[in-house]
Amino acid sequence: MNKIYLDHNATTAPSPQVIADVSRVMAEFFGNPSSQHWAGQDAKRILDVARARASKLIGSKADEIVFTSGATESNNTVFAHVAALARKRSVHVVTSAIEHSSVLNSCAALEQQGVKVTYVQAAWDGRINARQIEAAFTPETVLVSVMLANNDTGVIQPIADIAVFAHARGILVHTDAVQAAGRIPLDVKTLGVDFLSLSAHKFCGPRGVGVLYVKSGIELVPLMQGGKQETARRAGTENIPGIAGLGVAAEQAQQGVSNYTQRCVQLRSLLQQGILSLFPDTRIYGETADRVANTLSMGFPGVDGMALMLNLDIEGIAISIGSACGAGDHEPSHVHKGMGCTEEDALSVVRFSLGPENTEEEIDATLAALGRAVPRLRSMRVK
Amino acid sequence: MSNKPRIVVGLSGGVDSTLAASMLLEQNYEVVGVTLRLLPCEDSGERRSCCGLDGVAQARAVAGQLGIRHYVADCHDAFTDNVLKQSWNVYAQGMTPNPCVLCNRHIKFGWLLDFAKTLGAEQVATGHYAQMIPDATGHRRLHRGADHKKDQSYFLYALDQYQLDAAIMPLGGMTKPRVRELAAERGFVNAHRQDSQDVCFAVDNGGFPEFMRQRFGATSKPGVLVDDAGKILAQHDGIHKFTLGQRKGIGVALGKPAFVKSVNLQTGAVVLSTEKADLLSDHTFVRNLIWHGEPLQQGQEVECEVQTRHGQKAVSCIIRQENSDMISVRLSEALFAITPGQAAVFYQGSLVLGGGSIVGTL
Repeated sequence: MNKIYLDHNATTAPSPQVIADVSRVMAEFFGNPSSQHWAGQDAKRILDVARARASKLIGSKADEIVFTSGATESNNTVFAHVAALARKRSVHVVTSAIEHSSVLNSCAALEQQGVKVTYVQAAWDGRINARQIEAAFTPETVLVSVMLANNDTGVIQPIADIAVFAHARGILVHTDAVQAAGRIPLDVKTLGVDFLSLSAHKFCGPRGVGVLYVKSGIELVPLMQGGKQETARRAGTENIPGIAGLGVAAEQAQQGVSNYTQRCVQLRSLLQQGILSLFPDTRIYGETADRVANTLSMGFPGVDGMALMLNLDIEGIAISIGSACGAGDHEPSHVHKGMGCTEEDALSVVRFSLGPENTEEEIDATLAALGRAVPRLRSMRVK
Repeated sequence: MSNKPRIVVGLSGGVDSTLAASMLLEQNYEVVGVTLRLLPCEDSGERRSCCGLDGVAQARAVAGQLGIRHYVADCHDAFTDNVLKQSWNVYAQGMTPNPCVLCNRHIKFGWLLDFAKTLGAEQVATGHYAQMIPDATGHRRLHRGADHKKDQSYFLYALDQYQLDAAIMPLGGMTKPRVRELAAERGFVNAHRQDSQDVCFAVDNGGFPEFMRQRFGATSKPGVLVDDAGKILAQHDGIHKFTLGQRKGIGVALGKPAFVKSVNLQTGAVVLSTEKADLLSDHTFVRNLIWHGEPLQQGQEVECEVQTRHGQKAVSCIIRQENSDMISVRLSEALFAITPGQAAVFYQGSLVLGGGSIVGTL
């Protein structure tokens, strides 16, 4: 069976250079970077190179990079920092209703501890309105956390505007930039953020490694207690092969952004136009907003998104629905509900997320598979 | 796109469904494995059963070995409504339900068949030991499995013709030892795994009814345990814990082995007896009949055989359609503990004629 992978927002295949470097580092640099001897020093140099590469991807200083196990840990670290503030005084957090579960569930945990949280809904086009974020601020607000690009729709959020409003009141700004790295140019100064989270595997790096950018001057309260690694901001012996792979991936992502965008826009238009000409009543979510180039969120009225996803999978085409539960018991995506969709509309949504290595032939095969599955699923709907 | 017929196989993680899937692959089907999650995770976590995580991981492993697609489908809402609630209703009536009959009808060949259709598959296969054989008119009819020790046709009588037409049971013509042999030949990871049985709820000491009472927050009629003479022996906290002929877990000693002779829904009284003969009966009544052939006319009689529980030897009988909702069954020999709520399934040789729910005996 031909395998077609259109789920790059879930994860991306590591590039050959990444695979080579992870293997090389694992084989040749086994030392503990905290050791003072030659083995430790060699490993530490790997860490330094990767840190420089990662900082270049987001326009930060090298010492503002904290390596983590991925964006979930990075996000949790930010909220652990807020939890520490909340032990001293009454605090408030503003976030959006369309964040990743690692943000939403961290907020829910903070609420259990008495922290007040405001969840701002997205507009119909998938955008968070910066003025609405500003309106949610109170004198107790200490943090605003809004993702840079949404995982379901690809819609790019006005983080720079939010940061201006937040900083005018001394509020810290966090963005989960997982879906933006390698897809749009990233610069922490332009964005004006204090914290930024990345996962390497979303930009062709290895799984299980990520970054938390912490702006100089912020005394981060660490999530992980232990040794003094990452200048006492993240304890635990560093995942040196993974971090090396992240470094290589960061460098490739940074250099490849414009090619990536060009190629993905081309493929996505082909897919989007193809679907619309097959099924003119298909809804595109986030079309009128700025989107990352690879993401296409579409609603097929009268079709269960889960069933459509499984039908494509049986033909070897990997796509996604908003939130993956068990097959059969399909919960609508909180992102689409957060954009004001009805439950029925939200259940009809699937997500195609492309990569530059996808081909025109793969798009054609996907359109053909949709052409078979969608009419059949629609005809079955009336029971 | 593949031109092979697509079929969904209910994969429990056990050896039977694995071999069924493998045989269908060899018959050139495009096989999609589906494992049903029947209970919410918090309920099934500790249970070693076909619904547990244990089974899901096994099913995933064999699907990987077979190189087929595998999905885990949550159907606990349908299972709760159509199997658990209905079973509880029967317990609350002082009777003993048969959840496996309900599950085959509503879940494995109900919910799963609907799900299969959304995947573009017209048929559902399982590892059941039963056979589907076309009759003279070309209708697929349900027959016993060739391995009479493993035969599961008793649990399948309630499938309707639409379901029988969609059901594929590749192991129906085989014996269990042969299945294990073929599984071992194919090197399946689970070839020597213990049988899961048809029963998802391995129940000790009435655990299943009590589990369901708690689950639905229901109350059950409490009452007394009495002997044949009406002497009160003990109190009990709910009739749902007792089934006709039950010997274990009664909680009183009568000097001789005692068993439940009757359960009174109105008073909650559970009568115990030490005389086996008290529970023998050769005349019983059945309702909710599902009949696979021409519908029976009022007054019509049919000579056949009946089984009043799984694994029991069939006994010849004459059934009679008494009225629109009730048939009587006169048996050629008396059977022990013909239990209200359980299924009576009618056979002619290996052919399943139909079946229904036992109401009571004379």
